[in-house]
Amino acid sequence: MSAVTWKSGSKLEQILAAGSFAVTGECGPPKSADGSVIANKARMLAGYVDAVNITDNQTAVVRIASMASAHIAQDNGVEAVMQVTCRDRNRLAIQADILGAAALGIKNVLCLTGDHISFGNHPQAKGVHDLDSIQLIRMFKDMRDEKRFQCGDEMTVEPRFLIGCAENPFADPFDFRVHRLKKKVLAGADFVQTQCIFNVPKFKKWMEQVRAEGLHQEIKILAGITPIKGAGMARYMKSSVPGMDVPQEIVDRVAAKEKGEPQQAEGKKLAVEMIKELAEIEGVAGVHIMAVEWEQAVPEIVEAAGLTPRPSQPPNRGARRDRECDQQHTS
Amino acid sequence: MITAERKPFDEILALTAGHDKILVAGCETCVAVCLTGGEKEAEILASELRMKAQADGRELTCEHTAAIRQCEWEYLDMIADKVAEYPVILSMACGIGIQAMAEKFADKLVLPAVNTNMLGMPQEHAVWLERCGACGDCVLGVTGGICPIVRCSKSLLNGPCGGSHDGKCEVTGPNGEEIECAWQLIHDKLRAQGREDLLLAITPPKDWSKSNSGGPRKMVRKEAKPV
Amino acid sequence: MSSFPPHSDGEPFEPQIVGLACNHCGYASADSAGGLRRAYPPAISLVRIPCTGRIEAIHLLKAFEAGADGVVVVGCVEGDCLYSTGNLWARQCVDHVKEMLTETGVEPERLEMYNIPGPNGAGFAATVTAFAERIKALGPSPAKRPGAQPQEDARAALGNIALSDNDPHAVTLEEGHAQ
Repeated sequence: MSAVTWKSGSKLEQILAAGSFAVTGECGPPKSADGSVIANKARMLAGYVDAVNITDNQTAVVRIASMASAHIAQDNGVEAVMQVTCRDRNRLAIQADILGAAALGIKNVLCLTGDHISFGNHPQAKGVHDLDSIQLIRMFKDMRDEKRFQCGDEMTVEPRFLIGCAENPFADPFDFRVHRLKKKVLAGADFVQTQCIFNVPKFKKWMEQVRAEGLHQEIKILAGITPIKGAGMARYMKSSVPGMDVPQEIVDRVAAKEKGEPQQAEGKKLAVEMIKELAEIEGVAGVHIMAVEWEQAVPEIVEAAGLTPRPSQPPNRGARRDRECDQQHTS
Repeated sequence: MITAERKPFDEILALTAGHDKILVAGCETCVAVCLTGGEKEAEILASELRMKAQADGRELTCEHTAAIRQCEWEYLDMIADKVAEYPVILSMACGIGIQAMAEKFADKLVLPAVNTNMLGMPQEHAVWLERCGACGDCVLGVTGGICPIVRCSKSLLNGPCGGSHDGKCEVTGPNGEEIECAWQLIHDKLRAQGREDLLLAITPPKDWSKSNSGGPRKMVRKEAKPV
Repeated sequence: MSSFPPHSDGEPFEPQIVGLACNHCGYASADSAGGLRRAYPPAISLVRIPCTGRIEAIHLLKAFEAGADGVVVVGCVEGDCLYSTGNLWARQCVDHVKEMLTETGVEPERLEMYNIPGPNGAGFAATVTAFAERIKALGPSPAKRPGAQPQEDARAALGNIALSDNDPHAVTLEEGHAQ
């Protein structure tokens, strides 16, 4: 039997390649130098997610860098998906970071434009935006597959990453969102995590268009879920977060319960129902649970959705794995 | 055209503090057109400064003048006699004019009375919108005539981002005003022109070395240089 | 009506050349050639202009658009221009237009400027004859449209700078060149 050539050899890649329903989570690093916060979150999620996204100065607020956090997460039992935005770094810094991440054994990356600098706590900073997310995907692909830096120079040892991207099925222009995903596929994205879904019918419509283009066969699609912690959160997301589509019945359903624990329980229940419904949609390869600052809800949700136990696969630590020998598959 | 806004009065006072003989110099080109620093506005600022001095009990000699275009040596020659009488020149021209004044009248203290802010156009009377980023590598031919460098908040070349909603950018202006999503405009325009193929093509990373990022720029029209 | 038959397959190509000659040395040297019975190709049609410095890029381009296969500018020797630097400006203009011709796919050798003293009729004849040979070898201009009448159209394009022989400023050979 010939050796399988993995793009990255990551656990996430192997699970997706095997056709198993993948589960990824998300973790926001702290606004301090306290790495133990990530270590604790990682340990909490280990065994319930196949990989955890580490955000990159999310909402333009300074936090521990995603590379460092990803490394800490991997040291604490869970594979990382390192998020990279275009807002804070130019192409030199990004390429340097990706080499560093690879050297540290990180194997998944997610390419994002990044929330605008004005959203965050340093609105006077200069937003970089040397590249956009699609150019970022293409750059990582060329580094991995062509062994070339963005300037064209060759490198001897290339970083091997599973390249992810994000897509918002609910943003405008709606008729262009499938084409935008197609562009990302053409640029070289291997997997996509969608913005969190509350309007499942609208998402299904988007998936129809995605399937019509055959994109579900070219890229692994993970549907985004955010468990609602309370009616206040639901209302806020509905009215104040751009590109978020929260149907009124969802807000009402949570609001119908008492504040606090009852609303939280309803939120988790809703999340479980949605995961099950999304798993039935053709072309959905997994789910991406964004329970930022509510990571403790994730194990319960994953279990209730019937997605445990997760395939056991030790995450990467330290040095790169030899691709030629990497044939371990999920059970 | 170049647009500018007058600095807050307090800032102008702070800049000119301690000086009792000031010439306010307007410019009759761009800043006059955007109603900020022409002869009229220079006269107004001089009047305000005199009134403030009077109210503060300070001595102040403050007059105004204006150059046809403050960035051309020949036009500065025309106001040189007036400038000679004052130690301090408060210029209402754009940054180019202010620097030309500072260079030509090197023995004078030349101070800016305005903040030059953008290359913009009057969308309607008295409202100017940023239009051009002087990036040195114009892509308007493939974006339906809409500049993604300055009209997209993130200067995307393969937009829109996930924050585009109802044709509006996720970013709002300093007073909460809505900003149009440039990529929604580009998308609609290219669709209308039957050039959707441009939307699907992946635009490679921009050559920022042609912009100011590559250092201060210079242009020479060699065929027009004096023989 | 064109003075020259348009080029067609089978017939030898006769280049149609527009010349811009300054009212002093340029036109005078052409006049001298005539006086000395030094022949130069009839395919060169001269337009008299006050000074080569009066030429702008658009004049030369319009001559090519009008169908000229070659355009030649004849002015005073450098240092002898009646207006001191007119012929220097013309040289700079011609160099610039050569670049533009290259951009448009027209060979830059189709445009040339020569500085010839007024009395040098022999020099004028030899120079423009050689230029006509160059153009003949290059063939018809790529920018030439069928049915073009370069002399008439170019003269029309140069209308506001061309001097007629009846113009009170037009000089004859005797008055031509500054001593």
